[in-house]
Amino acid sequence: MPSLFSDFWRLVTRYRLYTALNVIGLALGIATFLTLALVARYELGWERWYPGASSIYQLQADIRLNGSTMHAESLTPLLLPGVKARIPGLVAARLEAAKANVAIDGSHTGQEEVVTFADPSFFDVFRLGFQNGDGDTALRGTSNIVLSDSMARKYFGGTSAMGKILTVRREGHTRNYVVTGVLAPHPSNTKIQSEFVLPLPEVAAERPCAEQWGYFCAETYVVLPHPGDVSSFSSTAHDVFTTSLSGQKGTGNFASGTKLILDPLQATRFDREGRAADGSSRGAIVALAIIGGLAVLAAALNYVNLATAQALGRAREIAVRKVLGASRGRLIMRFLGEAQVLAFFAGLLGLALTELAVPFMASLSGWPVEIDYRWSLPVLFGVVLFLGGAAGAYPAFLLSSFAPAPVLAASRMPAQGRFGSRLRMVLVGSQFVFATTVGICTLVVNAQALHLRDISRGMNVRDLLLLSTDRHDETDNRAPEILDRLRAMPGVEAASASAGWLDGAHEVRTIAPVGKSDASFIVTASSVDGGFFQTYGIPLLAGRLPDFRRGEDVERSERHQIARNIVINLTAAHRLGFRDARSAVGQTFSSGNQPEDLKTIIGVVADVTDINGHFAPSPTVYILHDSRFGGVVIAMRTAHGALPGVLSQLRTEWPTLMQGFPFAPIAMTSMIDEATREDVARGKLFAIGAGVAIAIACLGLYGLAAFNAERRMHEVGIRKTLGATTGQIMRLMLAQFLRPVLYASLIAWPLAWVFARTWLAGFENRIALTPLYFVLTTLLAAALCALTVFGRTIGLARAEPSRALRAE
Amino acid sequence: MLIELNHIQRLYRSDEVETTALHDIELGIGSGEFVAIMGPSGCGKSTLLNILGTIDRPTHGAYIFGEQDLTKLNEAALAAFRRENLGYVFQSFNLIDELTIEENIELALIYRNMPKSERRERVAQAMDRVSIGHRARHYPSQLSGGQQQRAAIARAIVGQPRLILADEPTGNLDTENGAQVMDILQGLNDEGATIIMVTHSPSHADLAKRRVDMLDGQIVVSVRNAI
Ligand SMILES: Nc1ncnc2c1ncn2[C@@H]1O[C@H](COP(=O)(O)OP(=O)(O)OP(=O)(O)O)[C@@H](O)[C@H]1O
Ligand SMILES: [Mg+2]
Repeated sequence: MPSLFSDFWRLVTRYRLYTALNVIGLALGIATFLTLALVARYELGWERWYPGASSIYQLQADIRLNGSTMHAESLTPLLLPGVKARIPGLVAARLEAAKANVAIDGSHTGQEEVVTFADPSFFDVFRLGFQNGDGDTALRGTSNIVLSDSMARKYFGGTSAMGKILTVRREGHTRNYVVTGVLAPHPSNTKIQSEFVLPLPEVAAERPCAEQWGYFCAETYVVLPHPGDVSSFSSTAHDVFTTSLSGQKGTGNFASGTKLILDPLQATRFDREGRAADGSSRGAIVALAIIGGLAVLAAALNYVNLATAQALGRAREIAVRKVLGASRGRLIMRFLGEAQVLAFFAGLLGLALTELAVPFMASLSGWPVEIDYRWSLPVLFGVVLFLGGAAGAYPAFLLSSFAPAPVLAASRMPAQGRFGSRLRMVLVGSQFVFATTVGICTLVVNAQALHLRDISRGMNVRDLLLLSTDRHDETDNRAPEILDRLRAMPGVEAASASAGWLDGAHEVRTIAPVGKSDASFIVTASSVDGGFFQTYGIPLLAGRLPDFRRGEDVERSERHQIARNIVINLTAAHRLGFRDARSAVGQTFSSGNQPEDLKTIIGVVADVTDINGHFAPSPTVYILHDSRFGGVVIAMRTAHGALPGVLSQLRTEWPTLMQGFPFAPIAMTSMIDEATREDVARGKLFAIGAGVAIAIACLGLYGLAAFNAERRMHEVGIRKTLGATTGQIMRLMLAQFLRPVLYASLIAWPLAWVFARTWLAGFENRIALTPLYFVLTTLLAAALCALTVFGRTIGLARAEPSRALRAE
Repeated sequence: MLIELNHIQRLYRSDEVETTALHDIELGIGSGEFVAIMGPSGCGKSTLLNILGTIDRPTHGAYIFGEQDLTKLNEAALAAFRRENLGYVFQSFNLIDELTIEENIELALIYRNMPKSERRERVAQAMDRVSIGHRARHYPSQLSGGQQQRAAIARAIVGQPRLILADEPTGNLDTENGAQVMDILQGLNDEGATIIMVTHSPSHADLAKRRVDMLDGQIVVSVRNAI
């Protein structure tokens, strides 16, 4: 073994360039693989880390409502107690997460947080570790609260949080809680929010989710340790659901066809199309994993390439060893050993690069990925073994196969004839196939991410400022006063309060063309005020906007007057069967089976796209309300350039304007940036992968160009003697290398096309797949190739021919 | 005078060691001459020939070819000069392994703007001239040394150069093949080509019209042979 290392060291010092290119190439491949594998492991590992994760299920429902089906991830909070009564000993918990203002012991300067109200059995289902306290008792008291370690630190700094008081304010209710537990840090890839866990309030009115059968807002989790339990549990739950509903008035609408679904917790990360709520998708993860795998493969090809090229330079050494009696088997072992040692050093360097890359990538993407050494080291070890073995095998067999006599007799370096040089070109070509494919995909993925950020969302997103986007009943009654004060500020052009729009609390209704209740569909119902369309800049396509002076246009909840005239969006008009906006105006549709449910369309407005831009606009009806909204979003449009002035005035007026709210106005454009952050981050991740792929390919090319320059030196001397100019020599050399790069493009184009199309198919709003991305990438690859080869060849092409000829 | 060398000096500098390969060479060669250069190993014969062939530059001195001082020309102009005026024959043949004999010969024309058909024709003529036509499609490694050298001569003459430079063209050949090569060179000289040849063989040197003897980078004698 020591001799292996000392021989290896001699080799390193003798072939410095090749060794460096090899180790760097392998290390880059390893680092890319490891980094992307960590990302994939994180993304695919959601919820899996909970103890007993595989026996946790989430109860969901496919709700049938007036003939349409809608998937609900949450259930009515009334269901679980009913089921528990039938199945003694069932471990299950409900969760109702809500935004709330959290302050230390009655203080008025609280902060906005997401708190999770849950059954005391929460920690029996999600068996999280505790730093202080324990899961069995922490939630047993009605005013207990459990904090995550980061929240304990945020609120209480270095001092122990245990026994301290936190004041939680939500929707007009204020309660004090005693900290009875602090959780140990746990992985962040879970949708279960456990920053603040507190018992469901005893008073039903204080719970975030209404205790009614028609409200699907409590996340419900059960533990079923035996797979056999699943079907018996399902039938019991379903039985409870239908029998309880049949006794309820007004719920008969959705009782009959609604199906309860028991989804394994681990499977809830992605929906049926493989998409996650945060914009991640199974496809994207698989793509990243493939890039990681290909990076290793590219590094291996690079090694094979450089090692075989270098092998030719070592032919004489090997021939001499053979003459001195080395057997073929021993030579193979020796070269495999060399490859393994090289891969080992590359592994160390790769790990170091990963150490640098992971935090960088985490800051870039917001993914809190960390290097878990218990997992990473075995993986690294496997990759190193694979690289040393697989990549070392071919060069080892090739090197050991040289017949000594011709090698020693030949004056010149053998080139393995046409086969050898073609093989090397194929290897470099393969690397460029990979690099070009990833390069094209990177351009497409990034262009799509930018597109998502910049597409028109059907409204004027500039100069639009949102003051609160969360549900807060407190602002409800004061909305008119707040709006008046906002409009009075200099630089404010319009202001509006609305609900069911941006706050995620939209009301869901079904509507249908008149007389065709079987063609009903689900719409989003937004409650808006008179200034809504002007404030958001949503264009009216046909008809008119609703008007407070017309009684028929306005819905007044206190007096139960219901608006007959309604504005809908273009998608809703199409779904109702109207050809265009104009032909919908003046027509009617039905929103139920009562006479007052017949609505007249007075106007059609443009579709507004999701903030993240991923999904198609949903059909929407806009209802003009004159008071209580049930949760308010306040928005204002400022004159162009007036934003800084408005902001500073807002800050001064804030305490009296929005009492008790943290000062956090947010521009619509920032909201969009935030919503598309993951897409942009994913684009950057691709770019890193592509950069590495191209870097490895160029390393290979550089090594090959060096080898080639050495081998063709003599030929260049002859050609120059015969009158070739430097330019002609350079053209010859460049063509030799550009050819495989261009052929590689021919293979990469269809590959990238398939990938890009599949990728883009996941977006409703997508860019056109133009040839530009393909041509651009190929040009870039060709330019990089030319530069690489140029750098290595120009010296040779310019040398005095006599020197080149003497080099024999 | 076709060629005039004035005060040509060539120094090689490598890692503090300085070698003077050529000292103050004065040499004139007329059109149609056949000059044999002789001298002990390391005396600077190849260096002189390389300078005459413009594939090496003198450290000092002027090299006048026709009316032109070649030491004043740049790279590209020198390349153009070589392809129009010079033909080379080397001791180690210097054929390109990856090209066939035909392609190797064509290489001397490929850097001129000459139509393909004319190139083909000239290559065929040159191959006939040295009786190598039947080996046109072979690779150099498939030929004997004598055949390879004849192919190299075909490549040197295919462009109909005014000056042929030959560095020990018979050095790697047996007597019979050596005689054949000398025959061809004499024939070319008879047709008007100027030839400068380095050789270690006195009998081959005697076949030239003039003999130049060198020692330690200097010309010691230059004698015209009796014909
Ligand atoms: N590139 C070079 N660098 C350093 N020294 C050189 C170089 N080329 C030639 N020389 C030296 O210049 C001198 C003349 O060399 P040259 O090749 O001209 O000799 P030669 O007369 O052709 O010898 P031979 O008959 O053995 O071919 C020698 O001493 C040689 O070592
Ligand atoms: Mg010599």
